[in-house]
Amino acid sequence: MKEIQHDIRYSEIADEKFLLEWLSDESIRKWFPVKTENEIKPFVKNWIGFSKFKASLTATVEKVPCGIATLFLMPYKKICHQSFFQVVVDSKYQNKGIGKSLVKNLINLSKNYFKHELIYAEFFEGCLIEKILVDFNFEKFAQQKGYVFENNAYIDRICYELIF
Amino acid sequence: MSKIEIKESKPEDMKYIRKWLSDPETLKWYPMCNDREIEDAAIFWISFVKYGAVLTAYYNNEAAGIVNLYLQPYQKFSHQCLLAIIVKNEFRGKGIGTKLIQEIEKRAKEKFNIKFLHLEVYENNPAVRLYERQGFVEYGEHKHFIKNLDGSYQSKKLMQKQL
Repeated sequence: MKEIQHDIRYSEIADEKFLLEWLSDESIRKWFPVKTENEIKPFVKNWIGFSKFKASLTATVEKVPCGIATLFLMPYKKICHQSFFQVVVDSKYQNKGIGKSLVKNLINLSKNYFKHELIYAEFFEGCLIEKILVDFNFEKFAQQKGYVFENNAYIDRICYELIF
Repeated sequence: MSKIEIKESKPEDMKYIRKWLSDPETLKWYPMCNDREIEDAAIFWISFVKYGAVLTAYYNNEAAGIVNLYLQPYQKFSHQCLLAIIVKNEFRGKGIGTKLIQEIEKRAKEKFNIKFLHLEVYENNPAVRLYERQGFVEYGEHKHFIKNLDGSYQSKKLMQKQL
């Protein structure tokens, strides 16, 4: 893997158009719940909405967004010590260290700014993010059979968490 | 003879969810902890009434429990569903939970073509035995998921049943 020079900044609402563009790419969308345009739009709106709380980071190459990682902050007091997160990287920039850099910075944001005690991610079986999570010492806590049904096949959901 | 009757819920049944969750002995098994959070959760829960995905149990004509299906908004997930259940504290141990799960399972299969039903239950909740008896199998445990107001933690058990 050849790493590419990039910057990390807080996400802005205007980054929504990049999320929309990336999730319209089938090679990326297959790793997310959405399938149709009607599903993608509200999904993206909810995702980028967390940028208002400074809970989202955008990676840029020459000032152009190429990836986003976001903490989906919890709405209830008893669960606000932890957060779920999602990461997406533009297919043109995958395997260049962007995802790893986003996860590293997101862990830092979660731990030091939001004072979370743990974060967790879930993904569909086969997704490349698993390697990144393992590299950052995340531990697997669940594998749910049949969570996704696509192209006449069931795919498992896998969940990993990192307790700080 | 005591009689359990199951009916499709109505929007006004939200008052039962709100009331039952306001009992601390019940609320400790849910992620909410105050009136605002209970209200939010009750509104979301009862919103599935419009799809016919919520059932209310009556015990001797008194509302005693509610179960719902959180139908998935995405096509890729439409074959599976999370269920949530609540039984009023004084009606526990009377077979109401069993009846609610059996009825919602039937409805999930026949009306919504659900293939996998799953649920979440917090550590030490005795309801886990009911779920096991109904064929739900643990597929994961999310440690430290709940941090109670006294600083103690509870894990969340994840269970699923293939229909």
